Amino acid sequence: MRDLKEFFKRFKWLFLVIAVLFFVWLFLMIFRSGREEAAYERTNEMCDTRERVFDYAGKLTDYEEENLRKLIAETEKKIGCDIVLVTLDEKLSKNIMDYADDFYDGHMFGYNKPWGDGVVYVDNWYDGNVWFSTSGKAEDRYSDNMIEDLIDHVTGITNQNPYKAYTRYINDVSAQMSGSSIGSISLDTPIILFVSLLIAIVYAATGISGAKAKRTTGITQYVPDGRPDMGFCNDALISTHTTRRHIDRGSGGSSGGGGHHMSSGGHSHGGGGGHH
Amino acid sequence: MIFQCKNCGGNVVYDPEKGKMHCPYCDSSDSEAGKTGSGLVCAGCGGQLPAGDFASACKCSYCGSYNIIEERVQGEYTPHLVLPFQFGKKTAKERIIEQFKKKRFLPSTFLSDAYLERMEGTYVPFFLYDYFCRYRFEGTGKKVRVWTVGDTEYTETSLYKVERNMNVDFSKIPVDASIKMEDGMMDLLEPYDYQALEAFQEKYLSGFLAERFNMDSDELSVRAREKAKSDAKQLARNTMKGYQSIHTNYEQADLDLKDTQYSLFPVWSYQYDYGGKKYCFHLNGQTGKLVGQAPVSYKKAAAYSTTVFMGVLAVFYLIGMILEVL
Repeated sequence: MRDLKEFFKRFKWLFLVIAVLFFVWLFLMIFRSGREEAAYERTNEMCDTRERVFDYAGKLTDYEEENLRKLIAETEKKIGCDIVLVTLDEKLSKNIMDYADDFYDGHMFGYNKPWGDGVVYVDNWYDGNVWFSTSGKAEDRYSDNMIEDLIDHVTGITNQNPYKAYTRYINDVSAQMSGSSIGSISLDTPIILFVSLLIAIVYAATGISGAKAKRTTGITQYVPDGRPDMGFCNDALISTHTTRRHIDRGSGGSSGGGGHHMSSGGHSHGGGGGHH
Repeated sequence: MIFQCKNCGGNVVYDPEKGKMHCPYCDSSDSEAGKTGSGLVCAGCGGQLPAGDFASACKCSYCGSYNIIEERVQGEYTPHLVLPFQFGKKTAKERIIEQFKKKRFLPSTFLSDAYLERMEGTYVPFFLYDYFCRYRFEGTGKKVRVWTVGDTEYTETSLYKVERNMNVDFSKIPVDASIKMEDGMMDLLEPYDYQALEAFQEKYLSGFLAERFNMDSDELSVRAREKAKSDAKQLARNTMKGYQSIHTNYEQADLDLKDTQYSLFPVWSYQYDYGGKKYCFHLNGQTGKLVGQAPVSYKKAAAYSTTVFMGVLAVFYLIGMILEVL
């Protein structure tokens, strides 16, 4: 009983923090469910098409295409972004990134305005290359890691079941665009596990190790006047020699980077590609 | 012998806080009268005393009276000096609690009053050695200086003949003369303030345990000599400044014993048995310095660390979930 009392006393702050975070999350969930009912209003009237599923490769049945259109329509209202799917089966004269950007720009996609908020997923079955292009608030929202996750998630099953893969693409965009921009700092499970484990190990190690008593007597502790009687003290130079060495002063450096780019139409896009 | 209260007949003990004899039964001060017993038998009740081979003061297991075994504090066993306890059991317990209360994985009973009440104050026998030390040193010292001019680094190495010839008077180097007390722990309890040393009086032992010396001063002088030599060497080294390294060519420390005094020093001791192991804690009865490593309850360590792991994990996940929702 005493152990239990001590346990709760020791961890009261941890339990309190967990409780507070839980209630904050609960409150936000309730608040969000009310907010989700209010759909985004599309304000781009210059887009030259209502079509979102361009199955040029013929990988989907009519029924599957219709289902995807419905899902895209619902999701677009929910997240306020155009969601475009393009399948190809041809040798492209330009790289797939440029094709995706030009396709998006050419049709003037964008939920809020031409070349505004939206994403396009281009899947070329000719060579298996895919490209996921983002624009507007989707470009701001998607980090490199998030794009990589989405591509891996979709391409993993594309060959087995294209319909399921493209449904996954739409659902992933829905989930990722529903989160916050702060949420782009994704908390990966392995990292969380590692950090938590590290904190627990440090906690255990510092608790187990105990500071040992130190010697608190100085060397003059038992010398009454605190200093010896120095009869003779001599430091005489015997020899000196000098050596010299040439210093190599090398130079070096590295650079790297990556990120957003401009399309040939002059519009900013983000994105990333993969292969299936 | 025991000290009995003239007023109530109770066992009068020395009160470190008041600095005088005190009867805990009738609360009177300096009301003691010595009552002599015989041999290793309690002067109060006649029960056999748990004196062993070396105890010079002990507590009767039957009536709880503090007995002083006279033949072990007389003649050759008479201490020259005694350092009386400066604080009582209550303060000693508080020191232990203060020192260890923040330790996370202490066994639950370690700081409980029932266990801490087992603490006993013991007068530990010490010999205090006075030595005159003649120290000689000859060696070669090396100084290295490095500087740079343009793209060239210069290193100048200078060798010196280092000589020291000094005398040191060491006074009252303490060495414990108890087999029961671990030497390393007793060394760590130092220093004691010798200003408070007093001529031995039996009354200081009443209320405490005590031992007579277990080994003679000649046998123990080896440790005192080692301490003196080590300190002399270090004192000389402190005068050899600015050298990167010193190679010893000749070193000699000659010690002349000037005097030896037999003394009793105050130590509060707490023994705690846990997991089949004995944990000993000693407090300097004058300065309050505490020596001893706290026991660890590995069961508690595992439970607490798992809680921390799970708790931190929960905090991270909740933060992640909140960020997702925002």
